[in-house]
Amino acid sequence: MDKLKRFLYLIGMNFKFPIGYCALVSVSLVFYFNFCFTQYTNLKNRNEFLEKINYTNIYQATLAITPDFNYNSIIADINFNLGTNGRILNFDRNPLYTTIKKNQTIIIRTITKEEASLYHIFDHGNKNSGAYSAIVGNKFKNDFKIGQAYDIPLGIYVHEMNKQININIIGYCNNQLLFDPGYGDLGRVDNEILIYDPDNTLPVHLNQFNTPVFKIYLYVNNDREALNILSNYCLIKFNKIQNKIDKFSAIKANLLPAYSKFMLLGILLYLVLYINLYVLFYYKKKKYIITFNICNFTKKFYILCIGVTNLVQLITGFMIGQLLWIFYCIISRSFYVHNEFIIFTLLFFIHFIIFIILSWRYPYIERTYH
Amino acid sequence: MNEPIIEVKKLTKTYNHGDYCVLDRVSFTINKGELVAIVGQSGSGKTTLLNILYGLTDYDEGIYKANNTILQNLSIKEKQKFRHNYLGYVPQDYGLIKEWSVYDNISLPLLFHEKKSTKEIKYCINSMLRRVHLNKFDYMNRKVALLSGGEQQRVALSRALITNPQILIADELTSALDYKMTINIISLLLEFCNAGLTIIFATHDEKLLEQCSKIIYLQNGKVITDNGL
Repeated sequence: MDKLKRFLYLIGMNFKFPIGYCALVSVSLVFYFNFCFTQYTNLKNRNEFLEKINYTNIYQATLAITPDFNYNSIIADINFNLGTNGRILNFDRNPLYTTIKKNQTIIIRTITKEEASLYHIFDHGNKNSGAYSAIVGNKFKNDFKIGQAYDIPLGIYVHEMNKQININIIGYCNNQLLFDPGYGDLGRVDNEILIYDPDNTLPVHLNQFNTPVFKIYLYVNNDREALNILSNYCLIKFNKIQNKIDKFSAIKANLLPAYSKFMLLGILLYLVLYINLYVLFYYKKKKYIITFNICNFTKKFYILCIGVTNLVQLITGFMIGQLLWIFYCIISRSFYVHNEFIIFTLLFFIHFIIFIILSWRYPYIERTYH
Repeated sequence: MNEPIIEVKKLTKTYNHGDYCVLDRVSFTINKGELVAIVGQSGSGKTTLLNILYGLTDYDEGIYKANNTILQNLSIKEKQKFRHNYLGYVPQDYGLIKEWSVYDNISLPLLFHEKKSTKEIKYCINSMLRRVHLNKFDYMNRKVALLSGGEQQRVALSRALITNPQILIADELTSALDYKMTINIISLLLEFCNAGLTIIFATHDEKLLEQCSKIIYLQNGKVITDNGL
């Protein structure tokens, strides 16, 4: 094995560029496989989830609210009145915005006493009188230190212009779902700061019609009855979200064949490049092959060389690609889907095919001197 | 010493499906320990004959036996094994990989075949370099590209001899060398011949011919004379 290692090292040192090029393609392919399989798994899980909850009966209602509006009592009231006609799954208050970062609007979510108790956060209430306890996303670790209070400006759609609030940082959060616990899958979760507002004292954010609103998501059995009941609660909009979800799913589903085509293209590109590496070697370094021939380069040694380089390329390409993907998932704060086994198996088969094709090249080497 | 080690009978080699005849019914015998020169003008078929003798090229007709074995009848694997055990070859351009070190070049045949350890290989190369008088400096780790023509030639010779062959086949062994270096190489070859090695080489160099025990003159693919001196 020492001799083989030495030989491969000698070849590798004089053929750095194509090997590097091939390694880059290999790593990119693993990264791309991860992307495609993650997309596929997400769509599959999402469709399964939607089918399970019978999503065709899910509605979104937008209600107008007053500044002294109590979310929890209203929700309890609506649920009581809906009875068997429907049930509220989740609600979504219009978030506030802050401009603490230049060129970036950050969403502020508020959480009530009841909600907080459900998730066991802010168990100690607002520690500093006059300051709201807050959890900020990991992204703002450098801007906010735990235990310190900060004044943050609120956005332009708030009732009182140029309003500032004082927040007391109690922790950081990396889990986006915390900010949208019930129904995260249906909407994009961008909020970065979660403020504990047990007494509903925070200013209210207005929508584009200058009205403070909040949205509820309901599972509805009888839509006419549900509409009648909700009409008593300053209803602005009542619509089935099926169309919105279907449209989104259709876009994603349409993209999947495109991903598959690109994946096939990637595999093809990989095969061609990898085989080309050897073809390049034969032609560019024909003198090497002639020398190997004079020195009686055997088929066994050749197959060993191909096999070992193949295996090294497979393992290193997979490891680096996978690590890069994990790193990307951490950076982009997206969920890591375990695709390792399927990707490794796929790559193994690709490399096996490459190995078989390249093993047939030996007679060419054998004839090189002639 | 009169034991024939190479027998060539009516050997014919053509290219272009028989249109161009390079070797035409060539016959000669070489005994063990002989220093044999193959002489002839450019295009007379010297290199083709040497390639056939080493088993790199197949012939069309006739018989070629090395050490009583018909090389052409062997499978690729057997041929390689035979070459490794009995033959050494120095091509016209030495066939060295110039980007590699002297050690890497000489160790190549041992990498492919023998089960020697790295330590043993190093020892073999060291003693071989001493035999070809390349032991003055640390030649082992020098890149071949940095060596002179004469030094490269001796490295090629070392690589051909590292497997302890019985027959050494060399093409234009002294073509790139000056007078002093040629004398050195001749005395080196005679040294090996005295140790029992059979050497067959193509040359234009008359200084070398004086030392040969046999000269094979080739003209238009035919042996004109095959005489012992």
